[in-house]
Amino acid sequence: MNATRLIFFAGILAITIGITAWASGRTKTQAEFFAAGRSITGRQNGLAIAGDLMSAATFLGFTGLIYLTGFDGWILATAAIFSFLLILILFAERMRNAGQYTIADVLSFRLSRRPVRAAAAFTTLVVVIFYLIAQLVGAGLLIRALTGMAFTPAVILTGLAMLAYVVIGGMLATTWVQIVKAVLLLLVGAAMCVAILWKFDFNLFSLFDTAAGRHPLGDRYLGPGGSDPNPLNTLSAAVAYAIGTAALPHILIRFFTVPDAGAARRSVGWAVGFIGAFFVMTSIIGYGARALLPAGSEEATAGGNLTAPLLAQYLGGGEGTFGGDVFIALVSAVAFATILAVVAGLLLSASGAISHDLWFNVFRRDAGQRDQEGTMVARMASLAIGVVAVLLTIALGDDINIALLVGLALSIAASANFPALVLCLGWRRFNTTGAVVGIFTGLVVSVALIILGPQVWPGGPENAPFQLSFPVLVSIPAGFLGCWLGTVFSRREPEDENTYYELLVRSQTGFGAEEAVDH
Amino acid sequence: MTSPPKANYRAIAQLKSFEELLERRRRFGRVALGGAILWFGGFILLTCYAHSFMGTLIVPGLSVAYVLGLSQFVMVWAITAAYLHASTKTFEPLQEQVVAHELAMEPAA
Repeated sequence: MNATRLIFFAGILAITIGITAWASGRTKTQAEFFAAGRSITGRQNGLAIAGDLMSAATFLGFTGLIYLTGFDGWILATAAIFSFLLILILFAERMRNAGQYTIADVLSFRLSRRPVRAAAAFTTLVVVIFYLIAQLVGAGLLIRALTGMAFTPAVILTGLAMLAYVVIGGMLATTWVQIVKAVLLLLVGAAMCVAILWKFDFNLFSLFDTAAGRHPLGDRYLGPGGSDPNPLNTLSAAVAYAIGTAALPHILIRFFTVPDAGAARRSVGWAVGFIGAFFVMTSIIGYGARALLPAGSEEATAGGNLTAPLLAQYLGGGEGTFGGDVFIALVSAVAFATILAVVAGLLLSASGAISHDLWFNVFRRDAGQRDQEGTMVARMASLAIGVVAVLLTIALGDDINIALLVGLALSIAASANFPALVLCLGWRRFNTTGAVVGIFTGLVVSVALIILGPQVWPGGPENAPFQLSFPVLVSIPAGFLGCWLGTVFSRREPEDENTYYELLVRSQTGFGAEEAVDH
Repeated sequence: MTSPPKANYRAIAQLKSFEELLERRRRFGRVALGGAILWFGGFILLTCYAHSFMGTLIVPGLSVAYVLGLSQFVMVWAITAAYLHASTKTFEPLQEQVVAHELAMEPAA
């Protein structure tokens, strides 16, 4: 393995393990394990949320797609930033005011606890497992490409680091790993943009013009339509990102880590600033790669994913030079850190669903929840899910389609979680049956359409009964319809409507919100 | 965590200050989200179905698509800033009024 890269990768591991050791002494209660003791400031949380969004899929994926297909690679970035308006206006403050550790808290606040909690915890687990496997496959491929390590040991290494952060350091370690990585990624991205624009006298248009001139599409490279011939596919992918991102469990639980609703809303403010800046940078890096990398580099980018590291090498002086070596090592190590931080956040949200939701509020409801036992169960749940995810990843192997898994996760989040969450916070008549029916309709319809779709259908993509990769155009309406039908065709539950007022007052004013104490 | 409700939440929900808070928040949400969905939705539909319009170059190197894409970021920043501003200026003071009422109505524990 290349020595420079080895040093940078080891450096990233050393920093994050140091953070975990520091956090371990401050992670004893459940509020500390799941919510970092609600001690994270708005700006820190904003950076951590930005870190969740600046994943390998966006940093390496978007830049690679722009390099290969032009503007189409950037559409999902605009959809992801849009989703933050939904988060800000619909969810951020209300999550903080009404919930404790998981999104199931918010749903079960006013609806009959056990069935709704079980349903919400189940979809959380499904979403997180798919997302986690996608990230782990990405980690294995990336580490293999960058260091020459084989796929399986690379996945195991990533899994071990992820488990260390979460099991030992809980949310505090996860948050600070995320913050460190977000800052590194923003600095590296900004440095790359300056280095790219330097070569074009800081004239953005001349950069784009040069890029278009070097792509077979010519000027059409700067407009949409470079990748997928079916416009409905583009549309459904954009909808999946715009709505699914707003319902991802590992992003929503970040709002439990701040002291109050004001900090929750300010964290969205910081997050959209950082994420927006970063996504604009991805367009400069992607087009910059087209304008600067030697013709015929497509093969070397391994499907686009190595575009950013290769461009960094070029900017540092090229292959074989000291500068080029350091630059590609730096960018690769930061990409590695990105994956580590994102998988840790995912694992933590899954452990909340198992421990807090399923174990303590569904199976052992009568046992009474002692805090020490709670933290212990949460750590064991993290360990179990982490090991299962790593084993599943190795079993599925390196040729599973990452975009498919991410699309599946986003589609299920958008179809199962989003309708129930929105209606729970805004529809007085909404009841338990409606929530359970809606959640399962969204889940079943989205999974069924993905199986019937071109990515999975065994008869080949042309013969697939459902022609879109992302099922959301059908499955989100189905989720809402399920919520509505379940509600109107079941008995009115007066209690649901009384607690509606409690949830309304609490979510709007923060009166009675969780302050890291049990009653 | 939620022991039986101590305060009469239905009564609080009918307070003038609470109704005003709710109404103002909802109005902001309707206008901001409605506008954002139109602007973003329009952009996505053009991106999917109007390739040649979106590919038009305003000056060499700058396409309509890129300008409209960039405008999504500007829109999200602007609405977020407006929401944070409205929160400190309008929502928070109303919220404090409601909480003051709630505390006054709370039976002594």
